[in-house]
Amino acid sequence: MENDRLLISDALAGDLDPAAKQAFEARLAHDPGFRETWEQELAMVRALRAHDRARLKEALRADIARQLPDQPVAVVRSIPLWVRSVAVVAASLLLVFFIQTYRSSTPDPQQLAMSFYEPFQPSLSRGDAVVPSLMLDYQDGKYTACLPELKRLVEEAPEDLTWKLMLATCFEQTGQYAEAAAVYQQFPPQHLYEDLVEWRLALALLLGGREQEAIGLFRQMVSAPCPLPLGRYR
Amino acid sequence: MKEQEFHMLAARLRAGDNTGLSSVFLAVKSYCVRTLVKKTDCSSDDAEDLLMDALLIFRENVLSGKLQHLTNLQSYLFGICLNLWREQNRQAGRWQQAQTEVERQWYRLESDMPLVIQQEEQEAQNQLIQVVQEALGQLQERCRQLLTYAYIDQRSHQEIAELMGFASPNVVKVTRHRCHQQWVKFVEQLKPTLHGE
Repeated sequence: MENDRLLISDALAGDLDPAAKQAFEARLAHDPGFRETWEQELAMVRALRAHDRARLKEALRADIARQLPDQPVAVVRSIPLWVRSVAVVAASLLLVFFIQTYRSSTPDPQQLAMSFYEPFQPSLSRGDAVVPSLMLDYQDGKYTACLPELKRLVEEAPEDLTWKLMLATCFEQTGQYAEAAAVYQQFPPQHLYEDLVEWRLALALLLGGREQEAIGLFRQMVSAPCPLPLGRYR
Repeated sequence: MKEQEFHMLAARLRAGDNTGLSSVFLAVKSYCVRTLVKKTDCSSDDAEDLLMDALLIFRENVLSGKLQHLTNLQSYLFGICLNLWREQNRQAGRWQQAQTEVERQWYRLESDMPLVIQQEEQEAQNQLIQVVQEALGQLQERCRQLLTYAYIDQRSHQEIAELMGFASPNVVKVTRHRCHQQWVKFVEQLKPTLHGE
């Protein structure tokens, strides 16, 4: 019996070589008394292990709780597929809605330009004296009728900035924004209407659909140290 | 976890320092618990419980020398968790597979009996735990420590010799034999029917 116990102790400690293990198993198969002793002592060790594992688990739980005193291990439970699908569709719809709302709240560049646009108003005294019929037509908004005469006047007196501004306005009013922009670009580098021409050129570009060029010009105006109202440029 | 980190953790566990387990728990918790919940639909509490059990199994495997190398502790622990869950839910799976109410009633009738037996077994187990612990407590500290190292941790004789200052593994073996006999004797005294004597 004592030797059996020693053998069982070796088996419980995992201290049997393969040959000894084979002999041990053969003994278990053929010796019911030995088997019963083995099973009882194995149960004792299992009970020890179960107790030890429970103790360790409690210690581990306490150790974790100490490290995370205010943070329970929060887990998002798995969400059923149909709920996730509905959520994705709803999120997509919301996204489309917000994009549409954003687009509708973003002003159209041409509408924005038109909100700032005003026809150039020349001083009538000089014009009246030279071409009274032209000035009357211009005042009456007959821009198409004014175009040939203004083209001629600009060719004859390219240094006259008033004719150029009126010609550009006529182009703008008849929807010829590229031509209007071309007229503005022909202005000399430094002149009396420099700021006004820059501003009108930018608007003409915007109205003509040349947004990037217009933006570049607006940026240039905003960054330049000038006394003009920067707010409208922005 | 890198191989070097694993070896450091294993060294701490072998030295009796289990505090590294909580750090591992916190490091792998997010992945293991979320993935377990997702894969098995268990509750997060159950998933955490499984992860703790997996960590203790990991510890046992390190101490017994079964686990010598490891490059991905997270995957290793998750694998243990999944196996534990499958083991626990083998019977629950049968319940879920029952197609009709009649089948469920049959299953209930069948499963009631094992449940009673399980409860009785659990009570017997609790009683046995109490007895073996008490008997272990009657041993001298050195014997108690040796049996713990040998039977619970499954440490090698060589390691026990180094830890406890024995002259050789053979001395450990002889001492273990003596301690085992004393322990069984105390258990028999506390519970005479244990060996049917």
